[in-house]
Amino acid sequence: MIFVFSENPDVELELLTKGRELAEKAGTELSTLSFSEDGANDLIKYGADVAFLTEKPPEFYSEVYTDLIASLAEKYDLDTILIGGTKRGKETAPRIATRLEVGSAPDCFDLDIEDGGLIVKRRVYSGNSVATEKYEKKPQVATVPPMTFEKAEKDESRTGKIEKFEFTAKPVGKSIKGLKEKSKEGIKIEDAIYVVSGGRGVKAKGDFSLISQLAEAIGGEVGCSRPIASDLKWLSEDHWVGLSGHKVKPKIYIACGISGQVQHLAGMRDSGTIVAINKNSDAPIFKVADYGIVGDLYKVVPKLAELLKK
Amino acid sequence: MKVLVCIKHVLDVAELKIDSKTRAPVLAGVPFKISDFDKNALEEAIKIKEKQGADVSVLSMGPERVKEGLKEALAMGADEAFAAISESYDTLVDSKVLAKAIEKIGFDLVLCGEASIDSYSGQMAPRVAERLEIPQITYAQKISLEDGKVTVERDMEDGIEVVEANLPCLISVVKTINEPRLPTIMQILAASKKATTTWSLGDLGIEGDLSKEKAIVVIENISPPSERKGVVFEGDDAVEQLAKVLVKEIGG
Repeated sequence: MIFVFSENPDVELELLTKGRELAEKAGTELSTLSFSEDGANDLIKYGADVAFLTEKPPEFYSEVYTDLIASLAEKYDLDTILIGGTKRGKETAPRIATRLEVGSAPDCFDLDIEDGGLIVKRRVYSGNSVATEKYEKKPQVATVPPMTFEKAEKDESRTGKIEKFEFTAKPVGKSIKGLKEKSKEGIKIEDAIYVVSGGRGVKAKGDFSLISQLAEAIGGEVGCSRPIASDLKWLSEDHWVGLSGHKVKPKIYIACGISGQVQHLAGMRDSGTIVAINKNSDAPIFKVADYGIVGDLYKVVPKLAELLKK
Repeated sequence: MKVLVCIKHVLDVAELKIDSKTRAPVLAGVPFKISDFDKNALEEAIKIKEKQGADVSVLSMGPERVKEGLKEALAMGADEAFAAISESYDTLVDSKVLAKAIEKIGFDLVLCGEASIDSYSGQMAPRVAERLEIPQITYAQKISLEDGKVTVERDMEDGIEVVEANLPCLISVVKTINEPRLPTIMQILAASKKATTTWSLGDLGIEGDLSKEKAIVVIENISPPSERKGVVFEGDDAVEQLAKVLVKEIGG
């Protein structure tokens, strides 16, 4: 049986899409985990055959979810376990795999199943290469980054089984004291149709007005690379596109003065059309770009904004 | 107070080239270095030592060359260095070797980077914590220690999560936690006199052929051809040409 789980409801639906496809191909059932009867019924309508139902642990501790999912794996003989690749998912999947003494592949962007054996693809060596991997042991554990697959659609006619599961969380030796807010401007860059991002090629905080003018011209949002949000703090983290920032998939992504470090590429690689504006013709960003201009963004960006406004 | 830092001696992936014919990464001649975030973990350990006193040990697993990384760690300020000499198999097997070595060294706190720069899997911290049966605190951007308790700020998607834990525990750190120091010439010279303890798998009580315990096998590792158009506009009207294709895309 294939099992999918993410604590993030959107990612859970994305996993149900892929899980459904793999279950059909392997001729097996798709299972997931829910903490309420209504939720369980819903997940069945979104594609699950079996929804395990248990009481929700009060906090997200990876140790507790390891106990929970490893117990499910042992009791129900799960042979494939897909976990949503959020930070919480990524710290839990390897712990589950270690408990079960099996392999776990991180950040898989492509998954296939042949004779019950999971085959995954993931980027290695700083995004320079793609590794295709298979498993020698079961269950086969993998994490899938958010926004890798489309969300599953609800089918009111679908039926399935709710399986109640007794689980009591053990003490974990740590406790969450609170969640502090990060500074935010309230934008949701992952929902933007067009994104114009600036990187280290933008020399001063005030110069980001050039980036926002171009974004405005096409009705898009302003994004940025890691140094701008994390080190220089010129923009809040909700603008940050990248592995540790936000993953975006706009119709058009325009990267201005961004060299294209792997952490950034991981956040925008799946965009529809990618445009690069950079003065260094060797910048890695050009390797993933559909269109590019080798030139000074201080000259190119205002001119482009002017032309696109019309 | 014993702080143990795990460092990985990795290929400097920024120096990696792709063979244009086979599309395979060319590893020959690529230099090795301490993985970036592991250096942040080490810096944090040295800061703890400076602030309240601690014994800092560094551990690295791999072939003989990992000792070069350990020398650098000693120069930065670690007190003792340990090399567990083993081939690298996968995170399941490698975490077993690391956990055995960590148990043998002894610790109150284990520190490591959130992921290594070569594979970026982020699996080692949770795997080692599970094997040691201790709590894990990942993505730490701030660590404070007081009365045998550690308080950590975690950089999460939905905010900064504040977590408190008793020792022993394992913490993985993110890049923004600190700026790793550069050792001085005097420190580098002094470090060359410090000894590194070397352990074989047998020394760690690991018997048998580890290659048979592998859980994941790499079928292929190549650079895929780009599916992007790769059009670079040149000349005086480059911006006009770009604007034209963008107008078309936005309109359509």
